[in-house]
Amino acid sequence: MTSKDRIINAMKFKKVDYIPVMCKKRAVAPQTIGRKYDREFQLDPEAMAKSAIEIWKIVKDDAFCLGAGPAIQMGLGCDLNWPEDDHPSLKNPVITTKEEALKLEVPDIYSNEYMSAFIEAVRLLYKWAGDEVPIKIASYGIFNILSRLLGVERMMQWIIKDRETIQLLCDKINETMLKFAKEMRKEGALIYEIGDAMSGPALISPQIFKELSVPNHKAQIDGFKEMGYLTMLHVCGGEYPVIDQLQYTNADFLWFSELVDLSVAQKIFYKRFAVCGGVHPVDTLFVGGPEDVDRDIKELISGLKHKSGVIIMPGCGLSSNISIENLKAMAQATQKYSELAGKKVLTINN
Amino acid sequence: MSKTKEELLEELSDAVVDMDEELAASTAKEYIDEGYDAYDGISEGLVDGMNKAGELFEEEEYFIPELLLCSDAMNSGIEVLSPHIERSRSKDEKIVVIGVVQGDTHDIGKNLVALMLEVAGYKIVDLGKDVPPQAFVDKAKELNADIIALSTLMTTTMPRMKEVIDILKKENIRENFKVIVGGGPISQKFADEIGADGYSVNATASVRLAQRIVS
Repeated sequence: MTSKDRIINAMKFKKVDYIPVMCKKRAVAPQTIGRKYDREFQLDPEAMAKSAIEIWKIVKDDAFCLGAGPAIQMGLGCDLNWPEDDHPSLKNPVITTKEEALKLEVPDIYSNEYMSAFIEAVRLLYKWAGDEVPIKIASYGIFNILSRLLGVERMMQWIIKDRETIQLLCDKINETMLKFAKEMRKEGALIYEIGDAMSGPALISPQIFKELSVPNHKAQIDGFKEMGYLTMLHVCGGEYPVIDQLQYTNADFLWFSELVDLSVAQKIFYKRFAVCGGVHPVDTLFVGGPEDVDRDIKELISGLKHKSGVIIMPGCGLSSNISIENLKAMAQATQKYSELAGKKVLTINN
Repeated sequence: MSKTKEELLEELSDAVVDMDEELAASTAKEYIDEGYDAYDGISEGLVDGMNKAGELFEEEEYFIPELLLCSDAMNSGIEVLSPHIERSRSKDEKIVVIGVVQGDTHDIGKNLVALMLEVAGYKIVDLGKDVPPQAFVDKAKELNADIIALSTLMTTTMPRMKEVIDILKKENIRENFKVIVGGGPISQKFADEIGADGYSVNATASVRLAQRIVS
């Protein structure tokens, strides 16, 4: 079974040979070709494509991973802080007034060097690697991008005080992301992964999540699905307060943080929405070693009731300092222990 | 008819909880015009409201947007009252040096911790973001601080927290300061491993932590 078939079968709750696993390795990938996850890397399509292949050759999980977040932010004019070897972060907000918000423009994708470099990276990756292992685009969601334009505090304040301007900005960000996604899809990308902690319960109330996050995520996800993408949504921060609402986003896969018990999520959504997650990005993958990863994956899978409808993933994004050996152990352990899913002896208490 | 001090203190508190900047400012003006003590207006009115907002945050009725707007309301009232304060700060006031560690620019969590500690009566010295480890130590020494509070949201910058503690040990001043840590990837386990004095899961919990470790 190819990785592509394995993932599609998991999504459709059909039989899989083993549970698919995705290791979120885009920040770690540059090391494999002697590079760093820095600004120059984001402008080098060959480096992005080559490193995606090289890290996959070591880890052997079920997707190639390319990170589109920086390109989208740069395309929209964000002012970012670029660490030597890590994800960029907000340097200064570029929108501080309503008047500035009204002026935000949807960029021309091919005129922006970051966005055009990224599309070329997708093209090269597909050309070199084919489609047995799908290309996953890992991206920030609308609200993460919004926080990079406004700054987190202003965004939080405007969410209550100026919802009209917030929605106007969400619409422009969504339009940009859909335009960009369309070009990536043409070049062979199959999975679109949205990471959007700024829209989730770590920051905002379930009420605001319902009013604001859900309709915007759904509009975007529906757009991606029309293009033929398989979609994943991650709102982070302990999703139980909004778990009842996630289904209304229409995502194919609901990707949970480590704060949610994946076996519980699987029970809730089985035969409706596939679920992903389960691996603690810090306690297991950062602090632990390969033997800890193996032990934790075994425990995780032993708790699952079904082998299908699930993808084993870290509970959030990973930085460049995660050990490649740990990611390799994660993939190997998932394949090794897949048969344990559904084997737990049921008692009155569970 | 004039309102009593207690009535106006309650209105100040309610204005903060209701996130009403204009009302907080106008009530503060009314309070001062009545001749009541400005410090009490802050500590028993505005800060009382912020504490109530903190409780609503703990109870998961208020979230980050609400807390920030309550803070804005509190600050608009403080702006009116603070020029009228006559009392000097208490000599027993505890000093907290706080910042986001070097390499990291995510600061909303740190800002909320600083806010809640200040509301609780701590003097806050905020070093901002992307702060080198030595800078924390130097400022703490300069001010004879009680607590060094470190924040980060990234695993790549977590080691900077241990560096602060290592510098304190190297200078033989580790026992002079309490070090507390927090942020998305941080855990009690990590705090114990690096030898921190405490870990706080959120802004309101940081107040209880600070009170416990400096009592």
